Amino acid sequence: MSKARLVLPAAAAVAAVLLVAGPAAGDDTPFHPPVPILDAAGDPVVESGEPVSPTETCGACHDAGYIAGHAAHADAGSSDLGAGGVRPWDLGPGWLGSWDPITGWGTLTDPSDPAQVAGWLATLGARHAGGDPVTGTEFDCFVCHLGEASLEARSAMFAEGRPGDATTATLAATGAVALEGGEWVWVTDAFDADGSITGLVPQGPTITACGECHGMAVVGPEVVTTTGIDLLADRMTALTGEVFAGDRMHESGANLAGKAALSRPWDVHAERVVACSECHHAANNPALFREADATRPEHLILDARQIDPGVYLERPDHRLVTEKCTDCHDATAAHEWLPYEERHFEALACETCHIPTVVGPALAVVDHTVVTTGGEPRTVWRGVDGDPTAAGSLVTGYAPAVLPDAGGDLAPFNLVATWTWVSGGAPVGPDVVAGALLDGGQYRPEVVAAFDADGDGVVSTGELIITTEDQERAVAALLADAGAPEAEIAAETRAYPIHHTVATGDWATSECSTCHGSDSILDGTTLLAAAAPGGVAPEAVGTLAGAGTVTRGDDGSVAFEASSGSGDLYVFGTDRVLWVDVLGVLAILGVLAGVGAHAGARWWAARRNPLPHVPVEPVYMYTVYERLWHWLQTIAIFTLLATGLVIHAPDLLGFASFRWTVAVHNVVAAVLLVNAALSAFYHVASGEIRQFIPRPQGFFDRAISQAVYYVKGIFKGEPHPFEKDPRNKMNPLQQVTYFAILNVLLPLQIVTGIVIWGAQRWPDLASGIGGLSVVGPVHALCAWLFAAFVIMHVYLTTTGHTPLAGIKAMVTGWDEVERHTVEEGSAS
Amino acid sequence: MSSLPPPDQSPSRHHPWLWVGALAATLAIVAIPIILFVPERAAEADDPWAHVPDRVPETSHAALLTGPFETGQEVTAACLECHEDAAEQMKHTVHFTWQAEPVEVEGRDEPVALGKANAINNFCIGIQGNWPACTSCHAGYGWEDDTYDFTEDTNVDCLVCHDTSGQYVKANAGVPAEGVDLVAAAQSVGGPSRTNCGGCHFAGGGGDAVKHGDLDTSLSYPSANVDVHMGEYDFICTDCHKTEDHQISGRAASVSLDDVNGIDCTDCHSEDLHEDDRINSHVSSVACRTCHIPTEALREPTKVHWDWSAAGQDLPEDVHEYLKIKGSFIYEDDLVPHYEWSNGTVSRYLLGDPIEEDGSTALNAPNGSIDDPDSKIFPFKIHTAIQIYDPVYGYLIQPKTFGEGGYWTDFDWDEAARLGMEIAGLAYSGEYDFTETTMHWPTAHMVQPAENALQCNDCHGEGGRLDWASLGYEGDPMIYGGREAGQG
Repeated sequence: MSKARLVLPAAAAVAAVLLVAGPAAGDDTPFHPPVPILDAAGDPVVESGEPVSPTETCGACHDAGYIAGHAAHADAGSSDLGAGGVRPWDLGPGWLGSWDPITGWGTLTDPSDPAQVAGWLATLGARHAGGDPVTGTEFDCFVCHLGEASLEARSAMFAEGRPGDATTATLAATGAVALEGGEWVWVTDAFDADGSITGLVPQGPTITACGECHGMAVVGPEVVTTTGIDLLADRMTALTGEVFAGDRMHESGANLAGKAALSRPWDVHAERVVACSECHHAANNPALFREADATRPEHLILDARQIDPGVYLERPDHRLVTEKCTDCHDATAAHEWLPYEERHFEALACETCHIPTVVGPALAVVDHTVVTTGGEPRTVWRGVDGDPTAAGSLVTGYAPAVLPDAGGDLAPFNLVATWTWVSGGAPVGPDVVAGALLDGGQYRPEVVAAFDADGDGVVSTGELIITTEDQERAVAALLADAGAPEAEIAAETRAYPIHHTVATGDWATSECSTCHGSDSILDGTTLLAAAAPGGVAPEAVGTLAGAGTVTRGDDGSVAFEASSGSGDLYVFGTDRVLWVDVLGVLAILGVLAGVGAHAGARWWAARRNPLPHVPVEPVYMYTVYERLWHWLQTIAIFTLLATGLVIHAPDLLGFASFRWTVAVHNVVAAVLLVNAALSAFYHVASGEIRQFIPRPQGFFDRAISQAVYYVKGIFKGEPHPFEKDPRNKMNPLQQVTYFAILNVLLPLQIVTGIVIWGAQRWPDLASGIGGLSVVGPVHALCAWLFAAFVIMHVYLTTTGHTPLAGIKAMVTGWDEVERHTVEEGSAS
Repeated sequence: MSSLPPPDQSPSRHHPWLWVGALAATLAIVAIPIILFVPERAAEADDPWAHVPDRVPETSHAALLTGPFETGQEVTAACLECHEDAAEQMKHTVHFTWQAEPVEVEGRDEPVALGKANAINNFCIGIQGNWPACTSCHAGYGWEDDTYDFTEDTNVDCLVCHDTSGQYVKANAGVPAEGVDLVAAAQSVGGPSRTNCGGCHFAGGGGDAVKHGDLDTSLSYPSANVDVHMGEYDFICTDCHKTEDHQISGRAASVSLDDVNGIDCTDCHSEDLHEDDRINSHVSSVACRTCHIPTEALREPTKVHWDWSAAGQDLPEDVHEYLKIKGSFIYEDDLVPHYEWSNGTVSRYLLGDPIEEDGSTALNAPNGSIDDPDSKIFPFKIHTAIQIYDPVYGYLIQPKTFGEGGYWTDFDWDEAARLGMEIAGLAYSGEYDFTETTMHWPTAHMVQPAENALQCNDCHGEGGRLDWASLGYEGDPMIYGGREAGQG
């Protein structure tokens, strides 16, 4: 038995204790002891009646200060305030410091202003666990560690401006506290004598607990529905359509297109019973801690001096680690089928293939420049036919945009374009926009006048968008009345990464044409919006800036065009260099025109002046080996040109599978290479190589006389200027042509071919000479020139004493050679 | 204009081996890169179709069996004119004898011959004394009492399995029902279809899906999502229940003491065919069916409880809830099976065995445990019943229900018990009461393809369907390790 197999169950058992820290599966005994619920003074709340203090309650055993000081959930970006964000008005990049383009809230400009802080808590506090210095709220352990946290009651306290009651409200579902006359009152009967709530067992964050704030997450084999997505509470699902659930899509309650065939689970990790907290775990969790290769001495597989579980439980480091796919998976063990495995791994994130489509509705547009009568921003969703909150809407899913991630790997994203009003250097809050446009839940007359295009007195969903300057002015005027003067529309596009909704290999992208071809997802344009409110294009911000450009269509739509082919990335079948192809086609057309004209002229001349009879005699010109070598190379070159063309432009010649074509191309290239090497050896060893080397002495005279023959003599039936015999098979022009081909074109083609083929084995080799984006086009250019040469070569074989004599000689070995009486015996 | 080359100039004419050598070299140049570059293809998996028997071509019997036939026996006699061995073969099958050959049973002194003829169950309890009603499903004619002649060739019923006319129906004692066209039935004979087998096996317990949650009339013409073999690939019963000389393979855990002649998925499918190692690691402990039959009673509800003690009352009748002659019932559809270790054999309650004093008496509990390496976790439909027993002797009563003096006629348990036990050859104290019994019905049909099979989270983690403790595990083996990791 291998070590890994021995270690796994043990690690899993520790994990069960450390992660679940509640009732282990199949075990009714709760792991966590009863917890007296204490107030800020450390007294049992059931006696004092005061609000609960998680710091005191949990801090009796755990180091609450350490935990809150080491938790991104507590910090919420407060430590980055002042660092600035992607927008001029952002104070920082985090949750507290930056404006939230989805809800439109987060307009905190002065963290020391209690009114602003209260406003922030009322709007975005629902997704904050507390514990930061800015809001002064207490880190609410119950939000994550209670089986059933009452987050709605907690949010309501923030909304009502009662942050001091928020943690108490979190316990509402336990039945130990109830609202009486607007005040929270502890229910004495629900407590045990030690001040703990009867039956209350704190536990590790469950999938459900994480899902409360982060998105749709369902534990166990339960039915998923995708209706009623909340922009704030179902954050991940709203942003990307991700659903973390283990049941099979076709067994879910969601109204999915092509549902019968969707037999995969929403997320394979959820199906495999991987909890959120197993990939996003406490940094010092001894069950999941692995020292980074960078700091681990090479001779140590495991540093046994792990943190003691007791110490961990006292001071769990809440700066959660996010495991990457490859932290757990050895991808090389499962991708033997994938050609150019390392090259693909180097360029692509695992998610790009393993999340080929997201089966769920995701935001495409959030338009805060207008509001619905419900006070919500105008939203457009992708992956769903119609309103995502309506049960009857068909969820079609969507293919994510594939863009470089922070590490440069191509990864899947959802692009969300947002529009908002900006006044006085800050975004206008949704409450102000709603107040300006609505009166008692109805549009103000000015709004109806501006937007009701069909004059039916109602602003329909389709009419609710600022498309004209009049509409823009009308809304701006209303905003000015509401206290937001000189408002202008600003817009942005952000990319939200997709890491969940992972599929197993059976469902992952494995078709080459997904990326290699004209329908490539790598060269994709993502439609952002059918119309840009106020005509303002949503500029790419955040990680998206630099990955492409936002373009306007003639129809007013806006799209994001990813720039592919940048840097080292040259995707065969998708990326082509135009001038190379133009040059190549021109070379071929030029040769064709040349030989066509020459052949026509010969034909015309031969009709006027039948060629004189030239005496010939048979000569054994080509040995068996030379002929085999020649014809094998012929087959190889034609096959390489044909398969190369398919790889270069798979859509033009889409009859063959890309994978098969690449394999054939590589195999035949190897045949050509071996054949060429053997023939080189033969020619050197036998001395035949001399025939290929132009002799400098008198070369130009000989070359000119051969050229003169082609442009004049051949039409008059003159004899060839040089006699061909087994030791002098080449005329001077042939010699110089082959000299160039064998010394320049062929080596260049072979070397570029090897570099392309070897790009995954020796990536430095390719990048050292400019990457595949240089090597690929050179290889293509050489191929075009080879094709042109082949045409010329075949034509010139017809210039013997009869058109087919040359080809016949290369088949039989026997050539018929002109005997020039004057030069008889001159060959040596 | 050219002369032929002189024959002596070509070197190849002197050295024909040059060609051979050059061709071989060329082939090598081509072959070596191909061998080096083309990836190896994984060896083809064992083809399950290789194990599926060929169907025998049908022969029209229309011209051969012109009749007229007055009785079923006359049809059988006509069949035997050509199929001379058929009756002899049939007479040695449990389809005719309703009793297997005696086998040694651990804990019993004498070998036991068990079958439908003498077993007790917790549906209609037993056939002794109730023959005509039960033997309507007997593959023979005229079994009315314990004097039935099992040696008579013409008592074999060929048509019940071979009729394809669809109108052949058997009445009490297994004789053709009134109105059956025996000539049409005889002329239609062919191989047994799903409908032939289903005629009895779908209707076990007196109605569709009553006994078997995994066998009902939806399997006559099933869709792929009811049963992948029969629905998607049009299997007939005998494709898996392979048959030779009228001996049909298969084992019914309700009336079997041993585990010979059974059928397993691995008869055709290789055991470790899953691509996923984690799934393959299950196969030593989990039967294929456990995952591939997630639920049963997919189209028809099946009976899970029968309370005989409620019989005899004048209550509103509903075949799925209450009948005066039978008592009250509970039916369930889309039933999640019950999971237990099984090594293929059962501990069978035999007439006269003592019942459990506390709790339910298991009539055919599967043998097996987490400690038995031959055991795997199998799915079962559990059927419980409240049935009559003798509190003085402490054993179950085989009452007479059908016919004169039977409970269904007179609604008198005492009389039914007295008559029934007399026939069964057991003493009756004159006192009766009701006790709970349990039967295990193995779930073997309604097999689902991979895309509908159970997934990890169906059993493991929160909300899983397996009761690890009752199976003998410390807890979820995903966390504690399986029995190979020290539990078995």
